[in-house]
Amino acid sequence: MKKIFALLLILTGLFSYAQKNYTLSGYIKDQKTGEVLIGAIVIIKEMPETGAATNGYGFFSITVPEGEYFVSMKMVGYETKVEKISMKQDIKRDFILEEKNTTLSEFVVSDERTNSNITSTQMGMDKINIKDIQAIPVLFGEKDILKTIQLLPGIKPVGEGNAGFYVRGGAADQNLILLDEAVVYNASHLLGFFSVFNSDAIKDVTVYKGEMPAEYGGRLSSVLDIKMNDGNEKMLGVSGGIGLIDSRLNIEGPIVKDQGSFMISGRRTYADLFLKLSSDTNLRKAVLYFYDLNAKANYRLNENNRIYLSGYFGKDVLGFGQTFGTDWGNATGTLRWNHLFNNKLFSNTSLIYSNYNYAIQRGSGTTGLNISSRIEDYNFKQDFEYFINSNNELKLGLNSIYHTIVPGIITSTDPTQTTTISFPFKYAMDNAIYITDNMKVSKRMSFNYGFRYTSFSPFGPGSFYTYDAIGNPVDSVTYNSVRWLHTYFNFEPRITTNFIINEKSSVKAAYGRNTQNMHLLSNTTSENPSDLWVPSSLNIKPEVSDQFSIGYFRNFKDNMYEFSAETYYKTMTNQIDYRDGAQIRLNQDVESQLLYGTGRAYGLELFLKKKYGRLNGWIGYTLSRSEKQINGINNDMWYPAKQDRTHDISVVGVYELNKKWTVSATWVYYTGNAVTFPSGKYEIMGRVINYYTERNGYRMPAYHRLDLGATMIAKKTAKFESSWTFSIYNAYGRENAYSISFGPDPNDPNRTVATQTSLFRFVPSVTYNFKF
Amino acid sequence: MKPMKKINGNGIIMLIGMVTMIFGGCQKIVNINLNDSNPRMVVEASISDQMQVDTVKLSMSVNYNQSNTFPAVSGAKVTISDNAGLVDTLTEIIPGNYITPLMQGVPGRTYTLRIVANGKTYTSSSAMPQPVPIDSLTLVVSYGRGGLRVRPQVTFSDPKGIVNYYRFAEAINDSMLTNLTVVSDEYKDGMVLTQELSARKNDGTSIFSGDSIRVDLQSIDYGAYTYFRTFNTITRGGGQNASPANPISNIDNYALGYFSAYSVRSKYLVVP
Repeated sequence: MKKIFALLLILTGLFSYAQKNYTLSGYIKDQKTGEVLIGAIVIIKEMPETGAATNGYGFFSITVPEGEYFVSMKMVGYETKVEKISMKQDIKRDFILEEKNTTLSEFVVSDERTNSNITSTQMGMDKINIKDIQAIPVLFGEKDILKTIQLLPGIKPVGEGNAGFYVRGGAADQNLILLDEAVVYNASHLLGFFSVFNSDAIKDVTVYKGEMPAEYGGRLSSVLDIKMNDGNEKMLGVSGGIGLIDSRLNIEGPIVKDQGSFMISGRRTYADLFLKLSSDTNLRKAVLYFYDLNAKANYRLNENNRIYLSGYFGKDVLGFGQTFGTDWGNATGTLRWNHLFNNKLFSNTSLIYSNYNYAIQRGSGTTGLNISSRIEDYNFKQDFEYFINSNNELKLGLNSIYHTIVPGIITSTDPTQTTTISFPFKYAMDNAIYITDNMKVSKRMSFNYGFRYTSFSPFGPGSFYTYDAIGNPVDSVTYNSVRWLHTYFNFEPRITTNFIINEKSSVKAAYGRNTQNMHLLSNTTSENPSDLWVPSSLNIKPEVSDQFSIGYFRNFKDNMYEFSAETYYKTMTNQIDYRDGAQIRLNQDVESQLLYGTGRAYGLELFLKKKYGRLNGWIGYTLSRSEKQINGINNDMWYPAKQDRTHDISVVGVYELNKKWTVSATWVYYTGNAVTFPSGKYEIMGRVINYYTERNGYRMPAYHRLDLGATMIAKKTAKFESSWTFSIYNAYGRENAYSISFGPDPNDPNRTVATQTSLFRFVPSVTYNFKF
Repeated sequence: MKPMKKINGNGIIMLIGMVTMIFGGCQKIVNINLNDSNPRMVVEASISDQMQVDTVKLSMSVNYNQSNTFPAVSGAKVTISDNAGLVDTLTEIIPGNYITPLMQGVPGRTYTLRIVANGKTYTSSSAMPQPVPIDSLTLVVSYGRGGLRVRPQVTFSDPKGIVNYYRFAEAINDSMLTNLTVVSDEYKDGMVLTQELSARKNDGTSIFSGDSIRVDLQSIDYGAYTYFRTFNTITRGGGQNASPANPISNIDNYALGYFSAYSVRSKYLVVP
């Protein structure tokens, strides 16, 4: 590791200039709200190869030789600003960008088109601007970032109406989902029909499909980094929406004008009101809703110190009279301190809490049971960004997480019964250090290279078993006090390189290793709130992936069209699958139900996007494969993983008819998941039972769907804005298979049939949005 | 503490029901092109500690799209032996049904089933646990959908210090119910346990006044328990189970089915 350090120092030194240099640094902000802008680009016109982008807190720093420069600042959706700046000394100031004054600002022909997709080193990454997704139709008209990213190549939905997703052949638990740096363990509401992210409260979304920068770690497939709005620091604002399924309200404003602000955003569904209309008395008794609350406040102590406090709280409630009830939810909290040591060294210190819990009630009175479970993290994170010179940007930091997992506490619903059964708690420490340098070698060549070094240590108190090949316990140790069980160390090198062919095209290549120590056990076809998170243990080894990828990026027509082709090959070790008839829930020996093996995934992703103009949108196509080889399954042969999808197409189009109306459409098509169907049947104990010959040997039918949407701006003045959004989900009423089950033919007891359940056909919605 | 109930994907299944109802979803029979499968031997075999006829039933699996006619396996040589040196050869009385009129099981012994059929040999062994008596069989009355509902409930004392597995068999008017309930004493060792059983007959009708109810408490071994437990997890998952498979059999040579040596104690009542 010392060698790497030395190499870093030499490289960073090599490309700095000997002449007198000065640093321009500061924050870039929105003119109207004072909200800092993430990912705004600063370019020195005289040195077009030198550029900087604002970091996650809106800060940039750029160092140039003494002289006079035209500095331009760009951000999608904002008017580009050019200023003449004389660099005779270090300059530290903030810049203001003005939002484009059009109805749907980003979709207007602009003379300032950026080609950052060509010039940036990062590959396998997509950034989503919340304003961009406003026009895209979604289920129930509830705009949802998780649904929108599933329209990008390489990112695929788990299933109908499901907020879970698969990235590049990885499983749904291999995505790191961060909300203001806090891990969100279950990102779905209503068993996956909505995501927990209320887009009113979200400012910025970045998704990395494998080659994540070294500051991220802990999951194999992707990082979804979501940042909440800071709140308007100029004036009080209220916005909201009223829809068929839910309503939203968002309040933001200054704490002290231009010094600090707050934001509170809430949402509540009332889907169960529909159930009251049902003729079925049982359905009328059902309860089904969720709510969530995002809140954030920030305050600038002085020009070098700023504090942020943000939190999320959400809950789902689902119940059927006295017989069954369940609720689950996430809570996260983040306290951050931004500190500028000087105009080149930015520091952020975070204290993060995250909690996911669920409770299930079965029955009531003397025979009922309550089961509760939770996972809780305390997380400390220190990040430094060192803007060494115009060619090097160094990031380094450390991260330490203390995990507590409560697999299940069972109590009686009868208050006189005091017996409690508690499954042993699980504890682990999760530590990491990282260093990464973004380096421009020449006008054409740049590298982003670094590593992450992690340790993961499950610890006692507790009893720890090891199991043999057929799942019988062979050994155990019991610790009665805090004691390390084992520590897994992993070294994760990451490198991305960009070679710019010309201003229209570039080639990028990347390699990255990722490690995952928290694993989700789920043996159902859709996400379930009671799916179990388990840490690496003596039996479950850290999952490790190595991904290689190469991509070609090309822009056409003065950056109006962006095209990219990316291919990847990924190997994964210590992948988990389940023994036949595995019992995952409420099983103390759950690790005895698992099998381990390797995985591989590879694919090609094509993406064509029209960024500007009255008509804009994209077409994405993915050709891919994801397979596993696990001893004990399918005669130890390679077999398709559940998430293996051969073809995946998405088409998104948004057309601005006039200043008032914007219409949009999306169409998706994908190969069905790999599933297990019976090939035979037999009779036992007086029943006809399915006979299975292999796992994942069949396919669900292909899925396709068209959604239509329209947005009408009802009123737009400086003080008040309102709009109506209309949408139809599944406009041609395709009966997509949600599940297929095999059982007796209702018409002929002597036969068996396959029954397909499909969920949504022609779901219309209307939402009224306002802002003042 | 009441015996643990299975918590399965019911939440999802109920939610899906609600969603399909509200948003125009639907269920329909579809034609799926399924592969042919090699026929496999299916064994249903048990021996009890009672003076009763124990049967071994042999049949073959068929392709999924065929009708529910399962070929009986005739002419097999079936023996059950115990670890005390007793060997009994079973007689085929109707095609595929082999009986042992002689043998009465002894708790504590281990039984071996051996089948030679169509040139293949299948074996299994099962240990017969000590019987556990039922303390009481009562009726629990509740008001549910469709009015009054009567559920039988058994109470028994789990022997402390040993691992026990139980299967409950319920007969209403001498007709055995096809549903299957098994529990283990995990987390409940040595406690007084109660178990509610089905309130419905095989034809779906409720228990009624005058019906006779018999409940058998079978003490079974781990192999048989694993078969019945995985049988339930696999058959109850609906379309939700991501990796459905065959229940884990305790018979070798790729046979489907089970062999259970069990001891049993019963209680009987007539619904007043």
